[in-house]
Amino acid sequence: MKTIKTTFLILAFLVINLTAQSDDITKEPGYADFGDLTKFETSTGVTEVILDEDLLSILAEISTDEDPNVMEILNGLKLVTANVFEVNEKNKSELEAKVNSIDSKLISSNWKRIVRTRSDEEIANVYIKHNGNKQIVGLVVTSVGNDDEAAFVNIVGTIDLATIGKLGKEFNIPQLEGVNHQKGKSDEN
Amino acid sequence: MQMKESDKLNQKLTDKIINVAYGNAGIVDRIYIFFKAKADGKANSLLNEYRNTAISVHNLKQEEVPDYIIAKAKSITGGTGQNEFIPSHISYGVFSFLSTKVIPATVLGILFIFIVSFLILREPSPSHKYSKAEIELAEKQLKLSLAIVGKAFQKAEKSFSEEVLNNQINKNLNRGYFLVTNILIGG
Repeated sequence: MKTIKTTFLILAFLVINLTAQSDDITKEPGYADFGDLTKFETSTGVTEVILDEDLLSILAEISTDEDPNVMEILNGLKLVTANVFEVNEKNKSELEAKVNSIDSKLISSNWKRIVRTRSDEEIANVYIKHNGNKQIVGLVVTSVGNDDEAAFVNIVGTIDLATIGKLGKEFNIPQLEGVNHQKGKSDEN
Repeated sequence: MQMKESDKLNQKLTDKIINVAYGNAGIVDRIYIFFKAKADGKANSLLNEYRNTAISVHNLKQEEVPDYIIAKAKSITGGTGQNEFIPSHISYGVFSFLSTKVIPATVLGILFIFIVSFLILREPSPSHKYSKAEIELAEKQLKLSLAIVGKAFQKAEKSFSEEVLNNQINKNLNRGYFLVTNILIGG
């Protein structure tokens, strides 16, 4: 009878565990919580992007013919979030403080900072998170530019850094203007 | 009178040893007692003692109860009615079988079906249908996100080539060259 009880408990534990794991992106090791960014949304230039796995897989399908590199990247991704705010004199120091607080938080959560540029004009940090197999499973970019945008990007999933860097350079930054004041599909749902 | 804490512990340990000896203990208790018996000679001898008793108990043969005892027992308990139709040893056997085998097996079966169906249903549901405009917007947003990443890499590359390669390394190389040519060689 005791063996049956133990088996029952193990099965119940498995069910609870499977339920808890189901599709909770915040439990992914590559997920980064930037905290509350809503206070920066008062400025005029705000862009919020949330692309979930569903949407990313559709994008992967349609990009097969156009660019195999994109397909390669998108296949392993689970989430892409980007929050872009216009920087002005009023919010610049607050945004810099946010970048610094995210920096401490990520470093203490075993994220590895691979890029840190700091000048009078701008700050830009890039972080990566490895899993047990030394694969990159998360990427974070935080940046604040003078009279420019402040950006907080998190890419969750298996990431090929070289391909992402290459593609990032291909997509010129002026495209930022094209998507201002729009929100991602997943956010609307 | 209240039991001492150590007495309670001893009692618990003895209970566990008895359960293990009679084969009623769970896997955790079995492991625990196994190691306890290895480490503690007293516990080991107690376990062996109970094991021997258990073996003797299990080896006891069932004996037929004489009819006059059954009749006497019935007269005391008023054992009539349905028990007349179902002999007591059969009803006991059926109920013990149900309680020890069928009910837990049914519960486990239901749980197994639940887990399997849960896993099947958990498979990603067919994707939400996105409109062409939504996909185009998502594509634009993806490019924006990648562009931000690319911009950060470019900044790093730029500062590395300008500040590290040009300023620091070149400066030191020039200083070294100046030292060699002017001071050591003499102009």
